[in-house]
Amino acid sequence: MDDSREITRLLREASEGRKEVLDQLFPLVYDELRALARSKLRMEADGHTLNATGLVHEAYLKLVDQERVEWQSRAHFFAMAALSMRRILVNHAKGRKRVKRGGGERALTLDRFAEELALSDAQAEELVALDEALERLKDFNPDGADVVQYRFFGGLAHQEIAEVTGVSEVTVRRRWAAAKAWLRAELAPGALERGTTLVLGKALE
Amino acid sequence: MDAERWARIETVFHAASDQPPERRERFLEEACAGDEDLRIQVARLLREHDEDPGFLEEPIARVGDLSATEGEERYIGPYRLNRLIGRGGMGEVYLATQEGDDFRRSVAVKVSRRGMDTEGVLRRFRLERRILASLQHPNIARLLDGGATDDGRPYVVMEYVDGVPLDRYADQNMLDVRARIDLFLLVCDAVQHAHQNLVVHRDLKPTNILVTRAGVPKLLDFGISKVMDPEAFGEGATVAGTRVLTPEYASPEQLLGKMVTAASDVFALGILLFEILTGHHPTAPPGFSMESLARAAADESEVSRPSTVVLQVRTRSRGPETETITPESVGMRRGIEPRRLRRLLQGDLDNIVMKALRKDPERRYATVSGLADDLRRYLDGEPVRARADTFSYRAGKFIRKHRVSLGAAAAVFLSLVGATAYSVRQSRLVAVERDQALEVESFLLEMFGSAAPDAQAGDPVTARQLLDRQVEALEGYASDAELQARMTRVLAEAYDRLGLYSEAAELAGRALELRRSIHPPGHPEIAKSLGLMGWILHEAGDSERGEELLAEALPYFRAVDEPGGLSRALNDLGVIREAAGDYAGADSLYEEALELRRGGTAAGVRAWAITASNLSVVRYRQADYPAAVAMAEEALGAMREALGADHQRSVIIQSNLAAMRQAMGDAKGAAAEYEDLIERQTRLQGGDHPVTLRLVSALGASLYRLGRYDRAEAMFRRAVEGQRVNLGDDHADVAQLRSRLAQVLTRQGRPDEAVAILEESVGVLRARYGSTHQRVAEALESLADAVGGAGDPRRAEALQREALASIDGALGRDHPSSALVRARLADRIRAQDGRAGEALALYAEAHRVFQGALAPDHQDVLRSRIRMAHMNLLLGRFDVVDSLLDEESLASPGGEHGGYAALFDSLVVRRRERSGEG
Repeated sequence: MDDSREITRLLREASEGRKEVLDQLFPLVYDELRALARSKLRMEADGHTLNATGLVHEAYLKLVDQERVEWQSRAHFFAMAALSMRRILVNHAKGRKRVKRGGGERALTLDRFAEELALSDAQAEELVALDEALERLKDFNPDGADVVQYRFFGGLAHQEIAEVTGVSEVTVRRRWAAAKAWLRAELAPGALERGTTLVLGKALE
Repeated sequence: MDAERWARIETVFHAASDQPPERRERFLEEACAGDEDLRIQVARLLREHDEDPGFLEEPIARVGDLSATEGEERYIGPYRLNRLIGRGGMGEVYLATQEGDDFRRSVAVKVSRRGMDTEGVLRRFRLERRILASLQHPNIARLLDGGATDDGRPYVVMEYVDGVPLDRYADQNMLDVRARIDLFLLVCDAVQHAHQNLVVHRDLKPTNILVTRAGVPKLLDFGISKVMDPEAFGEGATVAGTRVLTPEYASPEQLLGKMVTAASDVFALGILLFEILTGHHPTAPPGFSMESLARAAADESEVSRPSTVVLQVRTRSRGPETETITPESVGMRRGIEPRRLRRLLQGDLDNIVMKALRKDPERRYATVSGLADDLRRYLDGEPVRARADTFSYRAGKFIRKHRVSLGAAAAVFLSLVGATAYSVRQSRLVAVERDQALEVESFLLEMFGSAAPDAQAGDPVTARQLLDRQVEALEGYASDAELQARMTRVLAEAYDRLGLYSEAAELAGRALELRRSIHPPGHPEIAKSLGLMGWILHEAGDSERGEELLAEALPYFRAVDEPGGLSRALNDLGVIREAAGDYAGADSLYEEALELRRGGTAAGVRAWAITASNLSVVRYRQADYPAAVAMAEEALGAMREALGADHQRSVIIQSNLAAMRQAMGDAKGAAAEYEDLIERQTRLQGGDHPVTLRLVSALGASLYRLGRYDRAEAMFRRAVEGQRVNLGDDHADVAQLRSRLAQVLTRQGRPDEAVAILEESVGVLRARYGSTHQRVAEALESLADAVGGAGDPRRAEALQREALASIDGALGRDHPSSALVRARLADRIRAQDGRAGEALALYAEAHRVFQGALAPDHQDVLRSRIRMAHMNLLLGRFDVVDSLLDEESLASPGGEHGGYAALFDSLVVRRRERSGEG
């Protein structure tokens, strides 16, 4: 299939140092993840839970010719998956907020997959706040924002992030620490009430 | 906030985080002195960081956790499968986890695919297991366990190698050629180990050789390997004759279905080596097929040499993908400029690769260790076997055993420094040295040694970039003016060393300003900065101001009794006086510096040796050869004591010494010195390094003077060949060397060969320099000689006139070199009847120039006097002869007139006769 070949090629290029192809990679991965999640939900009987990991792995197996890519390429794939997760989750959270406010029906053919993640209202709030803070961080510290995205929205290990961003693991750790500190400062005082921030620290799986 | 501000905040944040908590506050105060906002921002981040380290630590979703499973957990034996990492013809390989009471490790489990468990496959599995069990090598993935699944499928458990295929690893880490070979040698060891255990791998390819992050290659997948001695493994082992192979890496005998031996692995290793060296596959054209490979298998000529392909653009297909490989991409991944890569591969590496890739297994290396040994010989600079071991080859191959083992970048840079140093002093006499150079060099080497691996090795642009980066960093030292001044000074010296004088002068000026702001007037540090500034200005071409500054520094040093600074300033001032032609002035400056430098530490001995060497050069320039040689010998002794005989500095002094012996007429001594030098220089920088070749050509010149034309010819030929490779056929230096070679040929009575070479050289030099240039004139004169030797005096004279026109145009009629060419024209025509008057006019003109430019007892002055006397004698002007032949001055010390002695004597006799007659 065409997408598979294209994705495999882009992944190889990314792992060979052409980081700019990640931009082309994202929409392919994103679409595929969404489509996959939908079809899963259509086909699977109710009650079956999907988890992000399983979904992404399945997409990976489906999309990537494993004989032709190396472990670095996996990291790139997961990085794109992390970005996809961020979009899916944040859209979902925004949708929830809209519903809460009574504004419009759930017009979003909302990924039930995201719903499965069962965000609480507080979590949805926080997620949106975090997303916005990340956008602000990106203005002056895009590297730090990337690390947060990969790590928090994707659970990528430092070493995988290092591979994707093309810097050393030590640098990733440093960027992570600084970005995290800034985000906490940004989110803590006014944006949210104290005490609710802890929610983001919880595993959702 | 902007990115720059954030970068500053983040930097201080990390630096502060690295401090123990109790010191952080203090650190912040200092680091943010004068920037209160910065302090507040960083303090806030630190507080946030400490308060809740768990913030965001638990991901909201895990998409990439490698240990996550796909739904239900699956086990094979006690191994929990994590994910599929490979799928082959017969089985699947999983990353799995083995858990014990107190340990947990990752392993690779290979299991036959359901439905594929035929008897043949089962036998293969059992065989692979036995083969692996027999191999214990650090570069072979270890067998850990084996067994059968609940439904009876066999599996083997191996060490899990988390790595990257060999070729990709080398590219990703931008390994240079040497590092690639080192890595490859480890693979050879592993394959050799298998061979010793009678196992042929048969499927060596990059994806079967993974390199771990620690840089250790591991050989995997003995799935289609073959056992050479069936008895050791039980019958049936060799039965599997099915043609399972990877066409791109298969040997001709594999492709043609013939017998497979250890030599097949040698072939596959040859392809691997070809690929990691060049980035290209030796045979595969785009979209290769089994058929085309089999065709290629039968035809040796289809394989290009590594040094050829690296300058080509080729596309390479891997499955559905096509990659375009260019010289630049190949060079970039090896940290080397494409043409230099080509030169590096030419010769030994080409030969080694091609020998491994021969179609006929018998003509390949018989064993893997044969291939490995040859590569090691190459790395050690010893003659390799992959080439007929003729005498001329051995003579041309030199030993590089003592090569400095620095990082690749540093090593290349070292030679770059050497090359720069030599290009400045490319004349036969190496000019005067300056001792700071050594310190700067070591500083630079440190800097380069610690450079990031992504630095392009040895590229002068990168050297410069590195310096530029350091200059940017200078601002970071603003709080410590003393340190900043010191760093600024060192950087100024580094730029100076790279020949970037305006940058150097600017930094030296800054350092001087800093010093003036820190210290009271008259402080020795100010004097040092003055001295440096003075020196750089001199190098930048403004010697006058340079001298002023250095002279300004002298009294400071004298006032505070600072012998180190004083001797350096004296030395530097001496260099400037010498360059201005004031040899006597330079002489006394050096003498004073030398006295101050006598005795002391190793660094002191080195400094003394440098000044002694400079003094010897000045004495040479004053034509006091015995004193020059004696001083150079002393300098050499001291430099050898300080740095060793093989050090570049010692070699420079020794080559001065050789040139001095040569100038003094001691061609024999010079030749011996050059021979020794060539050996040392070869150890330092290799036999085909431009500096080595320059020495080879100097040896040629000495041998020429000794009349040993055969050896002289051999030397010039070697220099010509070497420089052709280094510089290309059309380079002016090559043309000049060929002219020298031709001069030898003329002397050997082979003028026709000489003429052919010279005509070509003249063409090259003219194209490069135009018609009026000293080098063109020189070649034209040589051509005139050769043509004269071939029996065509008319054309010889015409060429000599052309040479004269050329040099007159280049240097002016009043230059001594022009005068010399004029005198030679007179030499050529004086013997012809009725042309003595014409010759005399030419001699007279030359003589006028010599007298104006040269000391009265200079050889050329004396010679032209004798010649003029000769002409006048022929013309019967005896009174003029008398005035020209003033015996006293002609016999003065230093007034050596070589081959003219006989002429002189006969002139004296005939003058007496004539005057008796008259």
